[in-house]
Amino acid sequence: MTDSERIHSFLRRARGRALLEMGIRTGAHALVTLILALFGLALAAALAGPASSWPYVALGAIAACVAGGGALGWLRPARAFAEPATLARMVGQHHPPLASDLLSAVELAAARTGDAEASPDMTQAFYGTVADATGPLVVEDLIPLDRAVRALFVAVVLLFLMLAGVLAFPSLLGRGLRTLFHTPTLFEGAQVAREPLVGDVRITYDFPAYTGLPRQIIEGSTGDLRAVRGTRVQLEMRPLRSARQARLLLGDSGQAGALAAALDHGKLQATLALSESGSYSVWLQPFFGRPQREERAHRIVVENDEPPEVDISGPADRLELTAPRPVEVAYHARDDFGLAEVALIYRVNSGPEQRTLLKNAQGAREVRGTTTFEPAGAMLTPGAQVAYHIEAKDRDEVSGSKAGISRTLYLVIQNPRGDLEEHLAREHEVLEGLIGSLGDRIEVERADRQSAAERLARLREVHESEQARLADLGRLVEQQRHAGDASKVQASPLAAAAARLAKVIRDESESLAGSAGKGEPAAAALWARIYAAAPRHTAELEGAVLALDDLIGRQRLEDLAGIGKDLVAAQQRLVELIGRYKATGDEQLRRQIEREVRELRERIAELARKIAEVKARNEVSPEWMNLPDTRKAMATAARLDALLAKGDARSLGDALAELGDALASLRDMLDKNAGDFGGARFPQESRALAELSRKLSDLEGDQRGIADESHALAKEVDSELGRRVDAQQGDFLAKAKQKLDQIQRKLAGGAPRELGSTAQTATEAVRENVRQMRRLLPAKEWNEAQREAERMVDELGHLQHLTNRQRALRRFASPTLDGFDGQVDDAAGLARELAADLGRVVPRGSDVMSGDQRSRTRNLGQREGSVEERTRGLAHELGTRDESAPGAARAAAELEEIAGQMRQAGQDLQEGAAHEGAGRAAEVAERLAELRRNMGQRPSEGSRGSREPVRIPDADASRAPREWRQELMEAMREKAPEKFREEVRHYYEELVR
Amino acid sequence: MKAAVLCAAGLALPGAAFAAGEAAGVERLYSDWRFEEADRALAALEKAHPAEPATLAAKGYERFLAGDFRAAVAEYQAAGHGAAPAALKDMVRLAEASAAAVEGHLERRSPHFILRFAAEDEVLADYGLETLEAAAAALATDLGFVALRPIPVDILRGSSELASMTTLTEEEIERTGTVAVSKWSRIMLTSPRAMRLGYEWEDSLSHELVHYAVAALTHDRAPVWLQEGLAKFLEHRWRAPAGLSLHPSMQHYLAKALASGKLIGFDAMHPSMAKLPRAEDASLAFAEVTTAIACLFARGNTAALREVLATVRDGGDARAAVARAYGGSGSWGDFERAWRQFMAGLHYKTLPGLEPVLAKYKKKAAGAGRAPNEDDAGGSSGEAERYLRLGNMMLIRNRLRPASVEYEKGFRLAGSNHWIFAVKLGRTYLALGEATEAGKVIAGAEATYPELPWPHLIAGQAALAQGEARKAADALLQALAINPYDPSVHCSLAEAYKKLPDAPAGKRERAERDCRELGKP
Repeated sequence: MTDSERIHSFLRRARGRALLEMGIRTGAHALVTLILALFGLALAAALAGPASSWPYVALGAIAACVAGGGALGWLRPARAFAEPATLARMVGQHHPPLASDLLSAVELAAARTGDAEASPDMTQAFYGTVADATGPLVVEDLIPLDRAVRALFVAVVLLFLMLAGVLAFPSLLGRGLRTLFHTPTLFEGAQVAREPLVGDVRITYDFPAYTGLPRQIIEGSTGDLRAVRGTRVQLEMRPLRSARQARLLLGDSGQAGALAAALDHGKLQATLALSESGSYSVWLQPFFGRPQREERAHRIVVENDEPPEVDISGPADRLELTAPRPVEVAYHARDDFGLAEVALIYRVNSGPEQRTLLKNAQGAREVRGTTTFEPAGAMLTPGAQVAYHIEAKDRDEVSGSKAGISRTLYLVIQNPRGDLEEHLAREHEVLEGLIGSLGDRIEVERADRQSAAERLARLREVHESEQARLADLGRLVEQQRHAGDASKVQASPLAAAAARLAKVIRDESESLAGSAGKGEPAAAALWARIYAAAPRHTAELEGAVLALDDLIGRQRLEDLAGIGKDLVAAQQRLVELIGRYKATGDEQLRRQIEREVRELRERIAELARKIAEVKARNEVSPEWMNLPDTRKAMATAARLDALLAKGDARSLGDALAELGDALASLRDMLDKNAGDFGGARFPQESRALAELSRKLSDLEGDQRGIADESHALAKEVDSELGRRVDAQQGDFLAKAKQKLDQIQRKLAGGAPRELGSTAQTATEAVRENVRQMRRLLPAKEWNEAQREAERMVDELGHLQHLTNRQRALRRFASPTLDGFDGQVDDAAGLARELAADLGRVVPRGSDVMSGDQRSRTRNLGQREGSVEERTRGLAHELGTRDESAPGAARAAAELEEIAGQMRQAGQDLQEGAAHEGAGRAAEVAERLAELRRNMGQRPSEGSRGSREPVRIPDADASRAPREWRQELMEAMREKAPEKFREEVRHYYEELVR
Repeated sequence: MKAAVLCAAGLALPGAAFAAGEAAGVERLYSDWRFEEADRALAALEKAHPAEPATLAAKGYERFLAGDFRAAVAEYQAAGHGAAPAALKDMVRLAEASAAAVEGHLERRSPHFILRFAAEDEVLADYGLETLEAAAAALATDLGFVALRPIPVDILRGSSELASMTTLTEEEIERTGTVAVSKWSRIMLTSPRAMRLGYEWEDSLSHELVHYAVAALTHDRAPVWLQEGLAKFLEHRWRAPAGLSLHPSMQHYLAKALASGKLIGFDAMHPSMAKLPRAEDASLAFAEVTTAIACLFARGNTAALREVLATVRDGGDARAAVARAYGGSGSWGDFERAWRQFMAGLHYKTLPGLEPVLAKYKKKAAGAGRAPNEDDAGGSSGEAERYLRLGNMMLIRNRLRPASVEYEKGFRLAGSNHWIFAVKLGRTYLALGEATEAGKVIAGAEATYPELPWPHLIAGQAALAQGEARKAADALLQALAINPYDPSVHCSLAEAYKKLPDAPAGKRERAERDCRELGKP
């Protein structure tokens, strides 16, 4: 390497070192500058708030620092140090002794390359000297990095300080930094207007089609939106400031986006579909300046389409039947926007859920109805449990159809025959024991060859055994007593026999006490005493045996008769089903028929089996064993399947008719057998039944007389009423018609939706009142019209109450509600006038009666009172008698109720209300007739075999007053505390029933 | 009806008027029970007009009388050519119903009889044919009757079958307890199985054969009272010599009627005893006519009977014939007086507390296949009934002594006329090995109620147990003649035959067989 090259090498190393030092130092300075700039900007942004310019400013600052750092720290030194002379000077500055020589050497080299010529040797020598002088120099020492490191340290410290500041003051520094680098939303970017931005807000609601609601326009709205999900809303408003662009910012801070709004002729228009609750605010972009937005957002409330509310009523929450029967079920479904299908859902035991469509409501808000529920008979074996409820679906096309479900009711098929078999088995067991005891006792008495002591010893054994049998018998009697009224009646001869037997056993116990171990003479004397009492003892034992045997026979024969009735009922049902099948050809119906035919065959087989058992067990005396042969019925029933499979409807009908004849004959035979048995073996009961029937007939006859006479009197009074009303009728009817027209017009628009379904129901009720009045008035049914008018007044009063309450609850005025309120007030006034007119035009019946008629009504009232007294007497007699006809206790209770009704009828008549009195009197006569017809039936017989539906108790007759029911239902809708809600609902339901 | 059928058949084809006339003649001969002449006339008619409807109808009638119902239906249908007149259709229906009633029946023949019966009645066949042959032989002796052709005898399952084969209604049959009918040259008899307590079926067979014989001997001109009188009087001839033998119940009714003067007039018995309003009336009527014949027989023996039949056959008045055969003035009035004296001379007495044993059908579909049973009697014995029930309860449970004690109480309370206690007691005593007691207790019931099987059975078994085989066999055969389905009758009879050195082996073997067969569950 030449000396010149050694110098240049030195200089290159110095250059690199100098560039490094300067780069680091300048970079650190740039970073410091940037941090300070960002700090300042962040503070400014935090104070000024978001602006779209901040990111630009921030980025500009960063760019400036980076560019400045790069230019000053790298470009400029690199360029400057590209010149060897500059480089030499810089080194000279760092090492002054070498400064001149090094510069000279660099310049000399430059000169040699030009025209100037110097002595080469001298030059070489000079170079050598300079080169040697640079040799010991270490570039790193020559150009240290101290300053650069210091600058870098400062930058890092500042950076940490900045970060600490962000953490320490996030709302200021952190937010400022975020604002610096965040492009603001329209909401954020807008200036909050302290004054209203828009006015004259007009909202048009277009509700989803399924709700059936008409378009609703609200003028002068606050801008708050409230509607069911899926509603399209058109907003129209007048901007109060000039603007070139408008938007609706969705969400409280515009976070849900912005909705373009049109500005046209000074009107802002926007359309939105309501899907979620939230809010919106108006954003306006003026021609100049920052956009502005409203300070307070408008509420958007999306109302949920609630699932339907469904109520169900049945004869009982848990209805137990002895045999499958149709069950009356009432339902009531309501939905805020309209119902679709209403179905009855049931499940037998743990089987699959079955669905029966009850009604397609087609959008009606409220559906009421009753149906007769009857699960497929084949599944309803004894012991089966059916859970059923009503399900109603709404027509929500937006969120999807929702179902409302009523509470679940239960229908349980008892297993009376299973129970009976158990009873009979127990009774048989006791009977066997008693017969054994009787046999033993007779044998002891006849054991002539034994000594008295031996006989006494044997008698003690027999006695002990008999005591045990008596205990069994006592238990049986108790069980029968607890089993219910019918059993009590049936068991009473048995109870009496048991009591008598107990007495003779007690007597014998006393005689036998201490008899053991006596000598023969004493034993003989004792035996003689006991033997003298033996006939009575044996007779009581015989009596108990026969009483129990009678009881068993009766139960068995009645069971058979019950099956006979069931079979006939099943056949009649098959006739109905086949008739329906012929008409519809429904495959499901055919399967049901198959099931029921199968079931019928099983029942016939059951009857045959039981008949065979009765014969085999000698359960009844031979004279009652002339039981029918079921083979013909079975053969005919077996033919049904084949005919059904063939689809031979005609032959099927013939075979069914043949089966009907066979079963009817079978039933008659079994009925007669059971009836004859009862008559022969329970003559006392038969007599009591006949006596009771006679007394009931007497009461019924007298009651019918009162009812007929009252009816005739009521007709006379009606006629007089009609005559009086006729005089003013024309004018009155015209006025009434006018008023009814007005009421109808007032309520033509219906109740506003915000009043809820109750108000809609009430409105509909008023419309119904109007319809009824239109029918009743021309028909001159004045009394009914009067009552209908009063009902209408009440219904409108209820509507007024609802409207006032809603108005009180509202924060903002609702023109619709206010309008409706006025209409209701007017209608209520008209209704009151109409009711008052009717009261004036139509006098009360008692007002038009002649003296003779008054006397007759009083007389009828007194007669009714007398019949009532006799009825109560009979009820008392039945209630206190131990042994009586079957169902006597039930009859006593029924008679008490009937007597209560008689009292009402009597009061009506006494007060001159002939119409009401006649109606009640006729009803009472019917009840007496029904009671007489049902006398002698045991509780289990009432339902067995009957195909009559089980009705909802007092569904019609004993309804609570409509107004009261309405009040209660209204009260029920008021929210109860969550944990008591179910109890409260049950309470109200029971109360209403 | 037959004449109408033949006329109708003839008129249906105008060209066959001649054949129709001839056929009507054939019908008259058959209806007059002149079978030989009728058969000849029919053969001639068949030869002359083989294909004429009237001929076919006549052939159908002949087959109907012979009991060949299917063939009769075929002939009638051929005669009608598918458009049969109403009368012909009625005959077709009757023949078809008859065919259905005997459908599947078995058949057994004897020299004079063709017996048809259901399989379950097979036990009747041998005894029935023996009875009939014995009765035929007796009638040949008494009345000079000879059967000219095999007599069809159908044993029917019940009242509906009997109604379907006769012109009686089911209601009439059940109300009067009619069990057998002799009509259309045939004998139709209800199986004793159909009756609640069985009935004297062998006497009934004999009774109907007498009707057959009287109809044949008089060309069916004998009035009902004469028919029934002779039949009742002679019905036991198959087993006993001629003579009056009325059951105590009939004696009771007759004594009662004589005492009250309420006899049933002979005219009221027309056209059939079965048409009388009550079964009791029928019993009284039978008693009256039987005693009338007995009165005649007492005076003139069988010759008087033959004379009466001959007179009636020749068109004479039956009353006049009886009066003349009786002798004396020959007037009916005199005969009637004599008859009343005869009845009074019998010194029949009413039997207070008698439970008349009326022939009653079992209730419909109520164990029709079951053999008659004493427990089906159903008579009310009032307070005593409780002891019957208690006794039955004990008996079923094999508590024999207590059962006997209960029955004894009932027997004492009800009196000896309530046969059920005697029967139950007799059975229980037998089971207790007290045959003497059984014999004593049943003797009264056997005498008072000979129409019941169980007193005979118990008496027979008691006699057997006491070593009196002959007496036992007689009593058991009487039981069998009322209820042949009880295996114990046959078993005891077999035992009795074993003890009788002169008893035919065949009878013993038959009794053993029936004991075995009927005893099968």
